[in-house]
Amino acid sequence: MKCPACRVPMYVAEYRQIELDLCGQCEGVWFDRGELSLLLGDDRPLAVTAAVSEEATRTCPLCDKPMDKVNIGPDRRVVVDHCPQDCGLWFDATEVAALTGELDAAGWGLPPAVFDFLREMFPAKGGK
Amino acid sequence: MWEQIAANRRKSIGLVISAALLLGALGWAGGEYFLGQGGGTGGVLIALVVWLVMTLAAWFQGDSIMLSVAGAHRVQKEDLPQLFNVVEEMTLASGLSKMPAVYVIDDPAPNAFAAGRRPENAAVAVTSGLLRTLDRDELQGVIAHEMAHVRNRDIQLMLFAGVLAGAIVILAETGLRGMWLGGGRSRSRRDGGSDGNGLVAILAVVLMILAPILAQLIYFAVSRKREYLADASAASFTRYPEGLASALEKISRAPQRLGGATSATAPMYIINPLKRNGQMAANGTSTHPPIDERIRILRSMAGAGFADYDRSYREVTKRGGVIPGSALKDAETGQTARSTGATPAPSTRENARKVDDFFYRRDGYRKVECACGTTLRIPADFATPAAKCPRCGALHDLR
Amino acid sequence: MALLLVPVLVLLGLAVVLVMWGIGIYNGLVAARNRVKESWAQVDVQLKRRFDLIPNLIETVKGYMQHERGTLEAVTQARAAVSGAGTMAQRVEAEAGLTGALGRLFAVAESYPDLKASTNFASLQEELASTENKIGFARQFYNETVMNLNNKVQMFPGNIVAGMFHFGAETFFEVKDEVQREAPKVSFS
Repeated sequence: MKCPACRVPMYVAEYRQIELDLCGQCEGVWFDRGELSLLLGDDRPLAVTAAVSEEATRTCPLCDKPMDKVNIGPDRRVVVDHCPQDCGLWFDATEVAALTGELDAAGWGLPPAVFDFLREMFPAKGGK
Repeated sequence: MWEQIAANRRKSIGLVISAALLLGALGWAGGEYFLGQGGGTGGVLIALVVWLVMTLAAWFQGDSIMLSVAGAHRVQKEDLPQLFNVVEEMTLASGLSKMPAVYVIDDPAPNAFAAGRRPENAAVAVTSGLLRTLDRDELQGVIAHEMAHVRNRDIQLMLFAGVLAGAIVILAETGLRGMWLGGGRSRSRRDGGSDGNGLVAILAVVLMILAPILAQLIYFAVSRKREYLADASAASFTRYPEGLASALEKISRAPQRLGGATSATAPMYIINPLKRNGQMAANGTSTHPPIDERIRILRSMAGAGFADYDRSYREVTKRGGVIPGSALKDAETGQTARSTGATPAPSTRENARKVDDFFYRRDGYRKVECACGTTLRIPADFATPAAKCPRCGALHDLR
Repeated sequence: MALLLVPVLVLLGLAVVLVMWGIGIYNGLVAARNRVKESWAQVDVQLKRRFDLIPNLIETVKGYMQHERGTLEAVTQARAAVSGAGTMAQRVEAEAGLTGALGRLFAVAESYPDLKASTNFASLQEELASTENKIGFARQFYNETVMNLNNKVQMFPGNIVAGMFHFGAETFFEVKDEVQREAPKVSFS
């Protein structure tokens, strides 16, 4: 699988039996729909809200369709890419940092289990 | 059960004969039109040769083409023990004398199909997406459905039906194109232009337009009927209709579409790979019945036998029965309770990891264990010389 | 002379038809009986497979489950009962006993997280769960073949031919233990 941003092959990190695809260059993270459903024990499509962003459009690494920009936080600060076919979610490196820096699962668009996992997988790098 | 297989064989022969008659009529009309009066026999001969060549090609290469087009890889028991076990279980339940070969396709879209002309050299293939999404009971339902295609000899039937329909389409298209270009018309005028010739021309045109449509409708209708029958058989093999129902639900909800399927191979899949989410499948031009309807039929079954399926089918669709009477008669044993083992099996998640492991190994990924408990997998063509563990930030040298 | 020939020919013809018909029924009976034999062989293979898996299981489990000596011994005893069974009825009962003993063992194993985490145990668990299923499915198919044979043997006109050539009805492999039969479906997820 190739990074939606840099187009180089991504590597895989597995933790707590969940796998994420990571880009070695831009440090972005791909969250596969299959992994999401394993994490949630639920395979219904994700409910996301559309967002406006000047960020470049990325294409889905699985189905090659241009992805939509979506909000996953109530303060409309974190914008991620969501595949229109619901193949998965793409977090740019800064977006992961934004999330892990100030994670507040309550009331967020994504289910808490996903955030709990992200918090564990990408611990906030305090003081850096 | 054996009576049902015999009934299927009779039905396949009947279908082949009726489609062959259509092909023959097309050949005759084409021959009369293009080769002049009395050319009908030659036309029939041409039609027969086209059909024969196509049949032989399909017969000898059908499976391998289908499997390679779909990108299927053969697996052994060590690779995916659970999948292998489930196939073995369904081999026993269906009473097949030989276990089909097991193939896996690396595709996130959950789907499955069966291939093989005879039950003795059959194969079942599932996508990695299917293995990742379904639990054991659901997987069993899907494999049972595919096994039913094998045991009911649907693959053979659909192969024959598909080739016949294909031959008819090709001949009719060639014929129509020939007419368009004016081939044969001048000749038949020269032959004297009797009334008979005009009639033959009209007949030929009508046949060339109608025959392909008719052939495809027969094909689709047969295919849909086989799907219902395979669902009914799956319920009776597993004694647990809910397994397949819940699998169909999950599969139809999955967002991905399958690559590598063509309209010729479509009838062998568990759900139509060419249509999304089972929509608009109720019309005459679909290989599969609407998936919601299949789920509803399975869910409203009182037991797990053929008779239960037939009753449920009538209730849900308000149409006549779908199971041949001979099959209903000898399927009364379908009432025994499902004998599920009292021993639980590993979870879906563990299974999903096994599937991934298999493909990572096959694709030459390198495994790096990080001290913090994270496992990294590096593709063979990874560009950077080191990989960072996202959890602890440790850099792993890859040289 | 010619007058006599017609009824003789008719009778002869009838006899030929009757014999052909009888042969058809006979062949059907033989086929049905062979299917029963084959399907029983399948059941037997799976029962043997379970029988062979048990020592391995006991070996794996022993270290973790020192306080469950009784449960382990029950499995060993049930396994011994299987090898000691003489008649078909005894065998069926002993096999059902083994199924029950194994079920209890796996139920107890649920409360040993170390054991559950062992990969060896996980693969054994899948193997035994699957073997248990295979026994069930092979049994299910065996019973179908028996039903098919018995129908042929007992129903007219098959019963006449069956009587002439000593075809008997076969016994079903039924699980006597009603509790097990009505047990709720175990979820594999």
